[in-house]
Amino acid sequence: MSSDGILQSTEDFLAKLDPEIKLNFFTFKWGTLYGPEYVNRLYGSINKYCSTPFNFTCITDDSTGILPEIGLLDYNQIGPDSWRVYPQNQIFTREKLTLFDLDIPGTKLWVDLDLLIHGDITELVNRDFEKPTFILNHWNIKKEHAHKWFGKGSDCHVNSSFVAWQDAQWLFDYTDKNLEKLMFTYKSLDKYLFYQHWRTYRLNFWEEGIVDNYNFSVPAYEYREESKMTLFNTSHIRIQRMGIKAFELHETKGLLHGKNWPYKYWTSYDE
Amino acid sequence: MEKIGLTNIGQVTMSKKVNKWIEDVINLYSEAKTIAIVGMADKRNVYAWLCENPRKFEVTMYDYDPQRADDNVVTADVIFDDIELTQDLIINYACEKMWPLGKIYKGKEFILIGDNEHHNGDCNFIDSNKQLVEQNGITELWEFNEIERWKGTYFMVAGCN
Repeated sequence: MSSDGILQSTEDFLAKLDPEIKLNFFTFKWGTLYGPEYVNRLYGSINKYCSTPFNFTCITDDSTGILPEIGLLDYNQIGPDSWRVYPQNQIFTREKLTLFDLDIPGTKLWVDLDLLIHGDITELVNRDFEKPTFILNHWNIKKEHAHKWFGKGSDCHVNSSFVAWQDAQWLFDYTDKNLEKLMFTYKSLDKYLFYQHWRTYRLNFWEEGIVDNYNFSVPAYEYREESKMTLFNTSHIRIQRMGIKAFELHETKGLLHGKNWPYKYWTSYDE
Repeated sequence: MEKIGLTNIGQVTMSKKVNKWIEDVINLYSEAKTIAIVGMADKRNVYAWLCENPRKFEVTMYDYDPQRADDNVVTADVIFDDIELTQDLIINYACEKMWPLGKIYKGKEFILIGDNEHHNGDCNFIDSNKQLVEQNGITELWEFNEIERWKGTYFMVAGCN
C-alpha cells in the first residue's frame, strides 16, 4: 500500500482496506510534539517484531516525512463531529476511541508514538481479545498507597499506549451516549477508562512484565529483557512536578551508563 | 504515627461547622422522609445524627471509592452507574467532583457542598453559591453559607429544584 502522502477520509480508507489482512495497527500524530521519525520508527519496530502480515495506518493532520508504505487517515475527519467540538483538555486523546466504531474485521490495535517496541509481539497480537486490552501500570498499582486518592479522583493506573481489540463497539457507544457528562468529568482518556471501565471490570490488561516504564519502574532507565515494549510518557510527571527525572524517547540519546539503550533501539528501526 | 496538629484541628472544626449547618437546615426546612448522602468519604456524623433522629429518616450513603465500602454504603458512581437516587433529599458532599446532580434529578430537595480548592481530580470547581444554585436548577433557595478553609472556601446551598 502506498499512501503518496494523501490523507484519506474514513470512507475511502475502509473501502481500500485489504480484506485478506486481519491485523490492523493504528497510531495518531497531530500537532508538532512528535516528528515523523516517531511514526516511521514505530512502523519499523512492528515490521521487525511482528511476523504476521499487517496494515499500519497513521491518523494525522500532516503527512510530511511519513514513509509512503504507511497508510494515512485524515485526523480532521475521523469520528463524529459531536466529539470534535470539545477542547483537548476534556478527555485528551479521546480520538482513539473512535477507532472502535470502524467496521474492520480481525484484530485492531492502536499504538502510541512514544512507545518503544523491542521484543517480539507476534504472539500478543494474535490472541483472541474478549475485551479491549490495555496496559495496567503494574509498577504503580502494587504500591502500598496505590489507591489512596481514588476517592479524590487523582489515581490512574490504566495506560492506553498499546491497545488491542476485536469487537469493542460497546466502548464507543457508551462514550457517545454519555459524552457530555464524560467530557465534563475527565481530563484524560486514561482517567476515564480507569474510573469507569477498570472499576467495573470491562477491560482486560496485558500481563505484568510485558510492558515496562522507563521513567517509573524501580530501578528506572533499565533494559529488561523479559519486557517487549517500554513506555516513556513524561507529560504528567512534568505537569504534576513529581520531582522525577524523566526522559522522552528521543531524550535518551546522550544518557550515560547504558541508559541510552532506547535511543539505540529506536534509531535502529531506520534501517 | 498519626499526624496531630493545627491542620487536623482545623479539619475537625470545619467539619463540625458543616455538620451543624446541615442539621439546622434539615430541621428548619426539609420535609424529606428518605435521604441520600453522596460523596461523604469518611464523614459519618450527619448519617449518625439522621439515623438517631426522632423523625426516623431512611438514609442511604453512596460513595464510588471501594475504600469506603461498608454495610451501610452503596459503592457506586451516582452519575454513571445504573442506579437511581429515589430519595426525597440528596446531600452531596462532593459537588466539585461530579456532574451536577440537579441536572439529573428534578423535584428534589438538595443540600449541596463544594469547594474551590482545585484538587487534581476535581472537574467542577465551585467558586460561588450562585454557581451551585444555577448548575442544579435550584428554584426554591432555603439557605446558603460559606466556610473558609486554609486552602479555599466551602460553598453550601440548600433548597429545591
